[in-house]
Amino acid sequence: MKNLGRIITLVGLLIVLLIPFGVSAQGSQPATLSINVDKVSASLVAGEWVNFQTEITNTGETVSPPLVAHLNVASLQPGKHVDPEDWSPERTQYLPPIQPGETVLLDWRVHTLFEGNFAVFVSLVSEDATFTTLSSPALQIRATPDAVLPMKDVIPTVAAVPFFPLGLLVFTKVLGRKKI
Amino acid sequence: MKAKKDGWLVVLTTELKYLWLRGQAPLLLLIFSLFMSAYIILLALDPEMNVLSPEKMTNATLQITILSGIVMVVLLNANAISGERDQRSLESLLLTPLPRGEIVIGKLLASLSIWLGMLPISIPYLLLVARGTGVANQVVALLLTTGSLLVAISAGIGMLISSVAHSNLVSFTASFATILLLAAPNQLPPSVKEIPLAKFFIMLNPITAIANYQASILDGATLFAEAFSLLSPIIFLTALALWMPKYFNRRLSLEGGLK
Repeated sequence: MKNLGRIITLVGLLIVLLIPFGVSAQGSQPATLSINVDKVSASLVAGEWVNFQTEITNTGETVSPPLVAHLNVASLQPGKHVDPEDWSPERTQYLPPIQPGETVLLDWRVHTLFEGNFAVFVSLVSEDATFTTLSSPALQIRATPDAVLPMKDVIPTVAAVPFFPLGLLVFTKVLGRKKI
Repeated sequence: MKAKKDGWLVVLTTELKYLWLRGQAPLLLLIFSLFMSAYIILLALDPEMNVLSPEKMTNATLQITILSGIVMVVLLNANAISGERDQRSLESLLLTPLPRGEIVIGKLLASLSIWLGMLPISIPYLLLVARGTGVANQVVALLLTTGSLLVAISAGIGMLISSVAHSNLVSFTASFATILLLAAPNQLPPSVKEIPLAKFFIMLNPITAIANYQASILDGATLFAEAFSLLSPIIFLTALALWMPKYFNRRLSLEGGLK
């Protein structure tokens, strides 16, 4: 019984000591904010641009701190390195505090420089960096290689050039009849 | 004396008239341009080919153009002497007061005029494939220099075979077989091409040496960096040009065959 009493006291002491940490950890989460992307995936030819929007909503009852939204690009294939700076002209956007129930829309542009599979996502962090970053669902980009010879550029040449020898053939046939 | 001096010119003029004014050469050029148009369309439609680097596509198009030129001149030259034999008109040709070497040179130069006709047709196709790259100028330079070199060598081989072949069929078969045999090492895997002995034979063979040079230039090498590759084709062509008239003067016969 004496031991049981000691154990209960020890457990109680531990709980009392851990509560502040638990509260502190919960307080660092941006629980009142949600972030979504208007597209799940995009398939395009390398070299094209992808436009998409993120929707940031304050679902809580308190005003959010000023926020920083940051765009990231990750290659999903090993051996392919992506420099996100080259892929987007504006990777960081600064937001004023968001009121409870308010939604903010952010526009993003990504330039797919080469073929491959990529994940694009936006992370949120408060300006004073007091809470853990919150990331949007990833927008998956599948970029196929750019066609070196687009058919629209090929048609004029392939249609026009044979007329040169054809004209020559007609001309020489007419001339040949006269001379030979 | 004058007629003897300009004998090759007389043959050349006559052959050119027959080739161009009868519509044979323009017809071949029309076939060539239709073939190139079909090739470019297939290239654009093929999802695997159409994603190659522009330099590789340009090189492939250059090879096809030169190969077409080789086929055309071999076709004309393989027919030049053995065709006359088949039609039983070689006897009267050999009886003309002209050195036999000059008859052959006249015919050979006339057949090369088809390549001159092919050049302006092939340049738009090559520029189309090479557009937007830095190899547009190089590919035209390669077509005019190495392409012409290769076509001239092939014409010489075709003419030599035609002079000894008993019939057109033998001449065509032997000419194309020889060209294919000389071009075959191009298909060797890159690891085999790197073996020193294989490298030596590739440089010795004028057709593979030129293909090697073209690939290097379109891969970014400067025009003179791999110039030694052109040594064997230039020597081969010079030797052909110097030796052929003398050979034909002595050896061109009515029956053909190796004597």
